Amino acid sequence: MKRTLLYIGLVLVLLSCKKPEEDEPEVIIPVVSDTSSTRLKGLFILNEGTWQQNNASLSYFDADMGTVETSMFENHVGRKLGDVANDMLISKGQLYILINNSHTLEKYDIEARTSKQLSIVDFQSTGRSPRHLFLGDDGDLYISSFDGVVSVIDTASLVVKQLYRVGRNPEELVISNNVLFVCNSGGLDFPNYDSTVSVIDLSTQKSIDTLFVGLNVQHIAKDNQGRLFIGTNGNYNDVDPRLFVFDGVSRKQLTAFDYPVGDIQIYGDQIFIQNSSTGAIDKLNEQTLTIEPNFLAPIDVKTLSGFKVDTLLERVYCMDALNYLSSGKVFCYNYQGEKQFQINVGVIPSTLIINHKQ
Amino acid sequence: MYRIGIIVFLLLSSAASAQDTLVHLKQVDIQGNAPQRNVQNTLKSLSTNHELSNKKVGELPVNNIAEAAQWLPGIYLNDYGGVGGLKTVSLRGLASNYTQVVLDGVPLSNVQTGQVDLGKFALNDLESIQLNVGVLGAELQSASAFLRPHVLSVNSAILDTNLTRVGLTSGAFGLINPSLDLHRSIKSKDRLGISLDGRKSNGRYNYLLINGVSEEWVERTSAGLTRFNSSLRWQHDISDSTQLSINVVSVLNNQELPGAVILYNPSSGQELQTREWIINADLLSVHSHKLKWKTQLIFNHQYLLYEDSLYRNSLSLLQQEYKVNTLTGVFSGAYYIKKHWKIAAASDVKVSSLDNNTIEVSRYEWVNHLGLSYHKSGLLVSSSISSQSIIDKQIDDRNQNNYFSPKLSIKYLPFRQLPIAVRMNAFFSQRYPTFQDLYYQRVFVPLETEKVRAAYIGLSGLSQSKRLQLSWNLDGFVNKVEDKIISLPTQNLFVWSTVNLGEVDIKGVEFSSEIFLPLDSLMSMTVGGSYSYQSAKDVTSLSSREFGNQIAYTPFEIAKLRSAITYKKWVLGWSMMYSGFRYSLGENIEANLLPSWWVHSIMFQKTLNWDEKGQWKFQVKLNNLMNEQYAYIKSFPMPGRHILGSIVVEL
Repeated sequence: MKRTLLYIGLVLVLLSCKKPEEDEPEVIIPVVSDTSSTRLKGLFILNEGTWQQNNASLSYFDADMGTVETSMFENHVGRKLGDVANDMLISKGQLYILINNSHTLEKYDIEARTSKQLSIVDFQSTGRSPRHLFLGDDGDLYISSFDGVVSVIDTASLVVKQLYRVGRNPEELVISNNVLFVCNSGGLDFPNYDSTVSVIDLSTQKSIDTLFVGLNVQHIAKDNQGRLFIGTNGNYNDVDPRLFVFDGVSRKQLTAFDYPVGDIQIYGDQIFIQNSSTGAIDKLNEQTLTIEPNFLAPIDVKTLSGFKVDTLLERVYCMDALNYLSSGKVFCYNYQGEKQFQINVGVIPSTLIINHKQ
Repeated sequence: MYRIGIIVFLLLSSAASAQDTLVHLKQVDIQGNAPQRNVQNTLKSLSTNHELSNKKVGELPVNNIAEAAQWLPGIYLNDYGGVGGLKTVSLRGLASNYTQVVLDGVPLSNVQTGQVDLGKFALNDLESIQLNVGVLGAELQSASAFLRPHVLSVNSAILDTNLTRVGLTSGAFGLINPSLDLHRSIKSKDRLGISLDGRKSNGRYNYLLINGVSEEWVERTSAGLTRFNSSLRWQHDISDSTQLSINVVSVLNNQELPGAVILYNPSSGQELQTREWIINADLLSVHSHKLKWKTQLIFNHQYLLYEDSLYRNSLSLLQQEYKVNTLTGVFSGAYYIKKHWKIAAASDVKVSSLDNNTIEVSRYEWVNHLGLSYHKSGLLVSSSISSQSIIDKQIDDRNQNNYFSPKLSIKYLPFRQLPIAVRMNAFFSQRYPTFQDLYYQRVFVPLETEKVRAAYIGLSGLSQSKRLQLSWNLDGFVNKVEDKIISLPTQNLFVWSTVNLGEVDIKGVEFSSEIFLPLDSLMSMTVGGSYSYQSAKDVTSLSSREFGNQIAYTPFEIAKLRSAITYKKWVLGWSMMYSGFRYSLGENIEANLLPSWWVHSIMFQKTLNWDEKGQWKFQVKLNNLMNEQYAYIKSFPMPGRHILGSIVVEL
């Protein structure tokens, strides 16, 4: 009996010695050399993170070293980004990062590796639930937030200069010819979605129009002819997602058709659209305004959570959220669809910024 | 030899054996007036794997059923923290849906989420909490109680003597918790029990918020709670062999929900209101030495109102209201065939309705159970099969599903002279998707049942002498979960998809022991402890990052130790609970790592008697003595060191 107990004890002691396993980095395929004078210096990748896990993160891929720093912000600033990072843009050596569920804007200085934080809150100090960023020609930041407000921020002082009331649960926004266009999703009023785009003249600071498009307006982009490309998500049931094209000046609809827009990116006269149903990146012909499917079908990607086109080096970066719960990946393809390299990043990579060097 | 006989009897305590129960039934006939109490007591002692008595629970740092249950071997709590946080139990790597909670013979259910919040049930008037793992539970239960492999039974005190007990607990979290228990025998045929427990608390406590390199003490706020639990039990002996029991249980609860700790965002506007009523009437009849049966009618009403005043919709208010009503009719019976065989059968007919802001669903269920057991000298073999047929009706849709869950249990004493029993259990269990799994998608997706196959093997031993009483259990278990129902986020934060995706391989060992040392005539000591090691690997997809990783919120190791020294009217208790590291998500990386924790607590108790029955009991509990900062669920911190005192007067 005593011996039996001794053996049991020994087994228990041995079992209790197990330690957590170390996270092993995945091997990165090295970058192929660039022939042009422009070279890739690095990539900033914003990872949304999982809701309520406070695990939003900023990853940096150093193209020369071939390494990824997975938690760049936390490593250098000494604190975490927060919960659910929704958007990021770069201006004058500063990264502006919008954290939805922490209701904050971070202004991260890439050189100094420090960050300043602004809380995006209303007059009762309740978070506005900020969603998207747009940088105006005047250098001001425009932030849409779920409380139906667009805040205008002075980037130097991080002071709120102006607030505009827009529609319900606004999403993406653009400024074209000094006119602000804001997509109103009404997503939190499910199933009673919004279907409008708010139009505000920034010179008079007044609402001048409302565009009626389809249910659940999410995406907007402008091209160099002043046209607006607007994507609606529908109601996930009997109303399908649609793509609308408007003339930005006359605000007349040019065309509209059923199409599941995941994201729209416009570089010069090239219009790239993520097809959220096929997971491919399609092109929209800028003359005929018709879809040219499968510009790139990223076969390695399980769940395309965002993309970015490098028109200088003719490459496409595809972000893969996998199951939205585990660490994501970024794949780099050339225009022929051949994989150039892949890297491991944080949970739900969704925004990517390309850093070139001449 | 007599001692060995007792040991053999105790070791065979897996399911009621024909012989022993027949012996007991004679006693019922002689005593005459309280058949159910005695029948059930004997069944209890014959069928339980692990038990925590009222006395042991009183010595632990616990204040509700959930916290008490987690001291049973292998049970791991999913605790959202604080006085009002949701508390559910999991066992052997299987989620809470696989542990059926039975409150005084009523199987508790939650067709909405499948998770029963055990934190809302009070501890006053408790007799014991029992855990049956994989073996067949007591007979004369509703068929629904046999559907799950693990059964946690919460039993209220027996109403055999008159009693008046008034208690007050107070201390940390601004808690004021008065309670009252009354037991009355009215004439010789009626017994009445009333139990009330009220709680008011601001729920506040400090916790250490760690953010990168910075650490800061922060107060957990927006956690206030007002709760009122009441229960009324009435037992009436219709004849010497027939008894009518009526139980009414209600929980009325208003609370604030502090929500997850979100960095840089301290505000919370969530409130929860719940109302639950359980009305149970049963008629027990012991017909002869061979046959007994029970009919039971259960009505359960659950109402939940969740409000978030910081929600950014056009009303600036998210309001979700659920009403669930369930009516169950149960017929159960047991019949003894010759000397060694017993048949037990039960059948439930159940109608549930769910009504919330957006959907209305009716569910019709028919649950059956048939069990057969054989007992001869050192061998007990029990087998059973349960079936569940479900029809859901949502406007026009009707989904019909039928499935079966078989169980087998064997207990054997290989040596006549050695008090060691070998136990083996195997079962196949299926879980039907909950209302939440099925009807909260924006697009309806039909789902299969989730399946679990399991095999448990174990040894039990006893050793008794004048100086020591020792019992121990050593178990190994293997579970396999297939078609696991999981909710996955999608590109849109507001659209989740629920799918039958997921396979989990669970393996583990568990050891538990209970020691009683009667040191001298004035002093005694009890020590109880358990250790579990479980590996629960996600084996869904070879290409996923989670493949071969431990599933979320499942520690490899759990250890518990509790001890108490009694000297005259003094009791000094010390308890320790350990949870090994685990992960908050399925990917086992450092970012998802939740560190291991140890929580130590001590208690002092002094009893003062002024006559044979009347007594004062003073108790002070110093919980989380070392001020360990820990969490069961990521972003839901648990309270640090805190003190609770109570005074109980018994007449």
